[in-house]
Amino acid sequence: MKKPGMVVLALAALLQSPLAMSGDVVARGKYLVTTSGCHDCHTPWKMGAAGPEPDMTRMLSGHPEKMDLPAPPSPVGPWIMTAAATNTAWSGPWGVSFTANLTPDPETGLGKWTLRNFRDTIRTGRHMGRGRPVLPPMPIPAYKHFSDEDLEAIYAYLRTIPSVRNRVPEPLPPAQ
Amino acid sequence: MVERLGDGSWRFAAYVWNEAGTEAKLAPEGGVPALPVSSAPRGRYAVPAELDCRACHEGAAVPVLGVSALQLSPERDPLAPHAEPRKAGEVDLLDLVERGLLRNLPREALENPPRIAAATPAERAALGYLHGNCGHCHNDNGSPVPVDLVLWQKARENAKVLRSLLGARSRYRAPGAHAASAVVEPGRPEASVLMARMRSRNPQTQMPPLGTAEPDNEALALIERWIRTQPQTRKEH
Repeated sequence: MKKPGMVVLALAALLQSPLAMSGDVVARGKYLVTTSGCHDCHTPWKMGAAGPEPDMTRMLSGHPEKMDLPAPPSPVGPWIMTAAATNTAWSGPWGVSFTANLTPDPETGLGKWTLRNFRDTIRTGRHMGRGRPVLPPMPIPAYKHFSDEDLEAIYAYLRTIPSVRNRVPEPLPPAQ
Repeated sequence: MVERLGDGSWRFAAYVWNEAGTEAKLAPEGGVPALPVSSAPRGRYAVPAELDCRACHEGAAVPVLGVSALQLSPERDPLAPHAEPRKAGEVDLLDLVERGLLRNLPREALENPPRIAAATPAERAALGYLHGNCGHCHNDNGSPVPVDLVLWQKARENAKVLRSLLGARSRYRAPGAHAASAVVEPGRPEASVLMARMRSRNPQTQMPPLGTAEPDNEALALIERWIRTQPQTRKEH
């Protein structure tokens, strides 16, 4: 018969196993994604019975590829930002930005991204960590202060969500 | 400045010379987005932020750029954009070996200096330009960007590079376009994403994405010539 102390040690070892740690990390990532407002812009909104609500069938898949938008209204006075009803397309002095597909789809989402690609993007404010500037309203000035552990958790969670094939358009330059 | 520290890590910093050129001061960590410099395009020079330095340098297998075997080869490419005659004091692989600064270089590299194998001289120069200017992010041996374009190559091994260029569908779509375009559409530079992004200096589109304010017209002419002469049936497998 095993001694009680050995059972406690074995349980502790199990809890520290990569699998258990991985589950903890994913849960932490889900918590951060939920509380940091990622759904506000990266999950398209639809009109529900009680008003606008995120369309969770397209969770975190970014601006819908097939949604053709007219040119945004001209900015007037202090009203310089406009958002589409989906909350996934934004117009401002930077042009028009479209929120990214954060699902693991390899061709249109983050499927081929490494943790480093993801972390560098948030830290540098550059797409893929090296490319074009990430545009407003993505709150890079706030999110770049996430700890490495938090970014790893968010990345780990985003690998677990359903893939959605949705090719988000490239941003549009400011009107001349 | 890129400095290797005792613990093996790398330190990046930018310095700004004073007017007299006698002293350089450490630039802020966030860089200087528009430093007045009369000789710079539009009179402004963007001093890179530390993270901008890392964005390019840390994509390669080693963050010191410009010293690949191809770039240090004694066999220089006469068609390379901006090529200049070799000046006294410039180093190549043979010099480094003779000075004892480079050890264990394969004899093959000494007897047959590294050279890009290509179908034509223009192709050799085009692939060489892309290797030297784009390969530190578009590679498969460092920390590359997550796209399928590989422009870093070893001497005489260009199949992977050509496969990712010729006829390969680009992830990028021009604003308003609903269909994917080819990175290089053989015979049609005007339909090739490579040309469009190298030519653009819209910050959302341009390649390279940072560090340049003007397109490289000499390189564009070379790449255009190379694409235009490609048979439309050419594909690499």
